[in-house]
Amino acid sequence: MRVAIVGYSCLPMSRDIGLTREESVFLSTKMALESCNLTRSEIDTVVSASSDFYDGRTISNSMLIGALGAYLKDESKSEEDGLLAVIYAMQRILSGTHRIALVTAHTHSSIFNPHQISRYMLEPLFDRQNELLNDIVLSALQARTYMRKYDVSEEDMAYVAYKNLRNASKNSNSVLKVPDISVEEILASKVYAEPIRELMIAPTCDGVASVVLASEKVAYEITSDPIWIEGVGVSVGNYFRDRDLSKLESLQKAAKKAYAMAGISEPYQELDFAEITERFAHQELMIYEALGIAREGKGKNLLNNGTTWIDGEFPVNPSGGALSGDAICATGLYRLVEAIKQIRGEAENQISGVRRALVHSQWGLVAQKNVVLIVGGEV
Amino acid sequence: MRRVAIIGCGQTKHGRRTDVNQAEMVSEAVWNAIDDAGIGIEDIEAFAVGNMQGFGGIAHPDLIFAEYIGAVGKPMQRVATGGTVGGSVAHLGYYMVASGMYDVVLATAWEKHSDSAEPGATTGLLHVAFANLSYMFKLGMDLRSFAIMGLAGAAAGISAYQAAQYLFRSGCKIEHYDMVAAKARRNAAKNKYAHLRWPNCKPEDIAKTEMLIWPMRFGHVCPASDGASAVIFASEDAVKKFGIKEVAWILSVAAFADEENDQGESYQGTGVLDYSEQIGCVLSAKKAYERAGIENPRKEVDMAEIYSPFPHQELMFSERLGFFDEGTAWKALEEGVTEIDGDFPITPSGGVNATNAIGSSGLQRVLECALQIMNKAEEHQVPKDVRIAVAHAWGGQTQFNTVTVLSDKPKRW
Amino acid sequence: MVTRYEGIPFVARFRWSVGELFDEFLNGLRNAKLIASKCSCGYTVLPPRVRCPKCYAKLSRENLVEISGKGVIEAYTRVFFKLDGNGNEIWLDKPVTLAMVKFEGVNSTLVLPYLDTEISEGTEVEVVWRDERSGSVSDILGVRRVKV
Repeated sequence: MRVAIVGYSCLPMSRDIGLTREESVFLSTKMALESCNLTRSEIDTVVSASSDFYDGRTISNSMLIGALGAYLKDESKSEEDGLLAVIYAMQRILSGTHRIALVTAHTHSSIFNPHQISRYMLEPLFDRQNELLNDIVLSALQARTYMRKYDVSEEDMAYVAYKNLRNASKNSNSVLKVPDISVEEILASKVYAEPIRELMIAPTCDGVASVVLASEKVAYEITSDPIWIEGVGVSVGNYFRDRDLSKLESLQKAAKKAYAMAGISEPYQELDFAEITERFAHQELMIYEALGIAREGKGKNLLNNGTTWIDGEFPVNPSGGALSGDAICATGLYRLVEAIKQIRGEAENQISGVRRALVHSQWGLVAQKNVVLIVGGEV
Repeated sequence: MRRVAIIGCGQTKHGRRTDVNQAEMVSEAVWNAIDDAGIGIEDIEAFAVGNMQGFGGIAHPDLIFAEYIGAVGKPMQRVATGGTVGGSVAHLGYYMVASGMYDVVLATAWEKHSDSAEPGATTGLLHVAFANLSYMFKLGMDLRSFAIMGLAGAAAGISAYQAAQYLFRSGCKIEHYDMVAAKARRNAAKNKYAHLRWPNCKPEDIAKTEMLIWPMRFGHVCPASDGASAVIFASEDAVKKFGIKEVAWILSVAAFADEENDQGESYQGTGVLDYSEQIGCVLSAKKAYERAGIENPRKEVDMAEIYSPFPHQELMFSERLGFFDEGTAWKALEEGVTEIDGDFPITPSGGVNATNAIGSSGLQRVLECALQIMNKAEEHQVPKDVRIAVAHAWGGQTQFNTVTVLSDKPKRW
Repeated sequence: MVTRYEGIPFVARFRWSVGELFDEFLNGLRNAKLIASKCSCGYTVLPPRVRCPKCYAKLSRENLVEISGKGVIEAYTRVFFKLDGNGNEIWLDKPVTLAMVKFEGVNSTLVLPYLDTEISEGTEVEVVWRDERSGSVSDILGVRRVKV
């Protein structure tokens, strides 16, 4: 049995969306149902994704049952990136107990600075005692490790940001719209921790996104354009102290699992594009390598020779990726929504004739946990 | 439909565990479960985890623990749903195997309340405590009682009103609450992992304690415990492959959410007026029985582990789960039906009233039912044959419920 | 117009139990010693803990080893800001250098302040201890370049 995505929605990301969580979650959920002409009564199960710490409330979905469409429904809440809620919903459908699932992921970064929350992810007895440590500083150390090993420059990092911010300027959902941004501006932006500069950090923001999943049995009754989830891979790595920061081993493992499930042996050939989550610009290059579309240490070549540009052979992040906006728990779903739009031919920054995509998101300090989905339209 | 079984269970001693840090505590339960199942860490394909992060003060602590519990390089999924989190983790573990994606999944849930320097369980509950404040003003509660509520575990404020509503609705008396609390502590005395163990606890002992807010006495309130539980789910094929003889099968799961009980607040409409109504529980039970092929729960189910941090909830949920008619649970209690050696034992482990590590407590209900079916509950094993058991968890403000039906056979017939 | 409710500010304090082996680590710090756990598989983890992060073998007091306190800088960064606990950025008057250090005989890395001026990857460093130590992680002030 296969599972398809039959509907989707998302709200434009914003530094301050100007709506309460209840209002914004309701809007996204409602739009998702409308996108595939389903009523709430036809939904069998609801899985949401939000995090107590990021939302500043214990039981973050406690006041949202109505807004999520989950009233008197079999529901649960993933507490991490929305792609994992999609996987959980998929598991609920594959078990045979449910046929149609609704998934909504949301975080309002305007409630509390997510970088502050990253400090609470640090091991409390030693690392958290260093008041200078947070996810930005750790990423700086990761960047340095990667750059030193493979001779990658700050210009290469800035070039990733340049590509993605340019793509983001065509994305009406993005937070930063800077169509005339230059590499020089990026290299001149405020330094947080060398070499990480402001414009290389995915801007945290408010965002809500939803998808509707259906089992193969009913997918065609709902839409003529189902997007099949062909592969799934999840892997968690060691905490950063016991891990090689020059590579993303857990992403390599997650990608391998997803490729095996999708029957992919040559990802570069068999995939058309990718939407990945680069919380920091340098991570995109590391992600190319972990996915196997670039050889070890050669990520920058794929960027510099234009391959991963919108008009290249293997576009990465036509939406602008996380650099277009990082809505924490919703970030993975924004990547998925873009992939769906591209495959259906509904995207703003449209790549022509694409059928199959890799969608990626990460969770934890310096991408400790990685999730990969392979999605594809009808053959 | 893929059949899923529980092949191993592990827990830590629950109580005040300042001898271990959070990571060590969770790893204790996990490795106990792996030993219990008689398999190796290499056989575990994926992990299902959950706890209420605010209480222990670490965000997404499973990322720090991954390397303590053998999860490096493997998939791990996390859920968090309030008091039901343990039940939700069990459901997640079940679905991960039932989906066919994995054959062997280890599910673990935990809580370390003692890491908080604030009184009782208030650290994580501070926002819920402020919700209690709004109830205080709306429905009337004096400041002193409100302050004492802050010392207890769990959402004590709302539960006090629920206890009063149930009392009027069912016709039971506060003495019945004393009886349930005493039974919980007596049962817990037979459970080496429990927190509040009182071998000869009598209802009079509970009745002597201070009245916090009528009808809730201090002796009715659950403790804020530290502890972790772990359960290993496996597919039918995996059970055969490992050659494990003693397993407990999951017949069905259901978790229906009601709306929050905020009358007219936060765009929630009218809200629920009677907290003891628990439509979510009624619906979850109905669906779980339907999926399991159970038509008459009172006749077909042998025992239940009910999530009752406060004694009235054992009576209330036993009715909502269909074991007793509305308003008659207290009669069954008086007749000894729900004692450990009774006709329908309820919460022979002592339950949440005697041990409440919020993350662990929901999963423990599933774990305890599995132990009873597998005949591994040692001193608190119920004397009757347990073929079908129901595990229940509850939480949120009052709106979340999870129901799990377990059996000694993979299918009902 | 959006009305924003700031909420009642509260502070939630924690005092984490450290466990037996980390307790040994803290005792070591009081005596200006660094204690790690060496697993039978060879992997040495710092600070010490009950399970090996690589092979998951159970580790106990028997696995504790004292390490030299000398190491090598694997990566470093100059940090220009910190967060104030409420999510606000505080910009430092002078940037602080943090170094990711791999100590001799240890496989884990630790991030510590670098107290010297010149630095590069591969610089050999040693721990700088606080004069008055109390058995807490603040007994380590940071690392400095090894004087040849």
